[in-house]
Parts: sequence; C-alpha cells; structure tokens
Amino acid sequence: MNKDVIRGIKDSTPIIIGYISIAIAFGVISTALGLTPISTILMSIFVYAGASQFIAINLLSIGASILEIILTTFFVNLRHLLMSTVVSTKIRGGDIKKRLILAHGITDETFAMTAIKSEDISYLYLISLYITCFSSWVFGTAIGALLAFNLPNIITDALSFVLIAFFIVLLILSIDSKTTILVAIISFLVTPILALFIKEASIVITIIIGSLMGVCIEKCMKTR
Amino acid sequence: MILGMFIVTYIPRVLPLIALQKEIISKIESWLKYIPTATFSSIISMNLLGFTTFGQTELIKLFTALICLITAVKTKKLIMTMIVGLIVYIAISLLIV
Repeated sequence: MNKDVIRGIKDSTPIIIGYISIAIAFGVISTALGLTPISTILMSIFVYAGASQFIAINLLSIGASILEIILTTFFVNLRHLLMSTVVSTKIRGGDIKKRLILAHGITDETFAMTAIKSEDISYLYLISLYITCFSSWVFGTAIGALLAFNLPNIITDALSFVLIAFFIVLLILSIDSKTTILVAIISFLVTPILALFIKEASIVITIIIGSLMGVCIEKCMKTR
Repeated sequence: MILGMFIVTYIPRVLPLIALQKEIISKIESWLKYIPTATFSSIISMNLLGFTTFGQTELIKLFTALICLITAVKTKKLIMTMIVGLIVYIAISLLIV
C-alpha cells in the first residue's frame, strides 16, 4: 500500500475512537426521539457534522420548523469555510472532481489533524484519513440506532436531556476569551425574549445578533 | 430536511477547495469565530427557558444543566459530561417520582 495511505489511516485512529463513541450516542438518542434508524443513518452519511446532527434532533423534539433547523445548520457549519481554505492552500494534487469528494470529509477533528502538519499534504493521505473517519462515524451511528430499540420511557426522557449536556460542553469549549463569554451571555438572554415574539426564528436571529455583537465588542476593546 | 442540511453543510466545505478567494474569507473571519458560541448558548437557552409552562420537569432540567455546566468547565470532557447529565437526571427523576 502507498505510504501516504498508511499514514492517513494511522493518523485517523485517535479521531475514530472519539467518533465511534459520539456516533453511538447520536444513533441511540436520535432513534429514541423517534427518528427511524434509516433516517438516522442517512443523516450521518449526508450531513456528517456532529454538532448539527445533535442540533437537528433536539430542535425537532422541541418543535422547531425544518427551515430553522436548516438555517441553524448553515450558520454552525460556516466555520468550515476557514478550515477548507487552509486545507486548499496545503493540499498537493487532486483535480476538481477529487476535491468535490474531499470536501465532504472536512470536519473540526480531521482539520485539526491536518492543521498541525507543517509540510504540504497529498491527496491520497487526506482521502484515506477522511474515509476512515467518515466510515467510523456512520458505523457508530448504525450501532447506536440498533441499540436504541425499545428503551423504557425514563431512559428516553433522560437521553433527550443528554443533548443539552452535549451543547453545554461545546459551548464551554468554544469560549476562549472575554468577548466569547459576553457573546454567550447575550445569546442566552436574547433567545427566550425573542421566543416570546417569533418562536420560529428566535435561534437563527440570536445567532446573527450574538455573533455580530461579538465583532462589535472585539472592535470596542481594541480601540480603547 | 436531511437533503437541505446536506446542501448547507457541503457548501462551506467545498467552496474554498474549488473556487473562493482567501481574501474574502479572511474578511469575515472575525465574524465566523463567534457563531458557534452564539449558536450553542441560544440552543441551550431555548431548551431551558423557551417553554410555555413551568413545572417539575423544567426545574429538574435547570438543576441538571447547572451540574453539567460545572462538570464541563472542570473536565472539558464530552462523553464524561453527557454521562454525568444522564445519571443525575435519572437519579432526580426517580427520587421525585
């Protein structure tokens, strides 16, 4: 086998461990909340974005509209613009067709793995890294979806709460400065107020207000 | 819904790889970095405070969320915090019922 392929698979092992455990959790919760195992697995194949998938099943369970789910997904995944840009400057080889396939494999974790490399990376290395990670995500989801068969009520209730725990961790991990703390507090307070007037769009509008406030606060702090 | 989600997750992944200029991306970079924080905070808030009735279940959720917040700040571990949340939530539900 090609040296780059072996390196790609080797580098994917730490990611795979995390992916399988989180994907199992996703499969279990999604099925417990009422999505069919097939939809659950299809979501992992086509969306392949942990946070967005958890958001989707959570928002479905609290009665959000499909449009709001899709818009929220869009904003959450805009961060991949930055990652994809970095990857595009580092990648060696690969024509447009190959890059179209490669794009689907970009995630926070696979990006982190390639971002720590100082040298250019080959298409073969990336595609083998991406395919192993992607497969583990889909595989974990399938196991979880099958495990969730016929769970008692109290467990499914608790599992839907676990989603909130998941978002709390991601929130804490996203906080890295005073500005982000302020953005978190503002967004937390704005959402329920907006929900009183426009329930269908309160999350999406909060995302726009909160992130723009972040930019403003950052500018104010710089000029002082 | 899944198809719509596929399209909006694929666009930001593919554009820079095939077309988009680096200069445009760097201009919106400072905006992009606050989006995850705003999103997660908003969703947590919607789950905890966005309800129309207030009862026992909501109180249990708020309390367990607080415990999860402390666990998350101390450990920063995903699976660990989810398991703590699961156990605390089931324990309180069983105790009250």
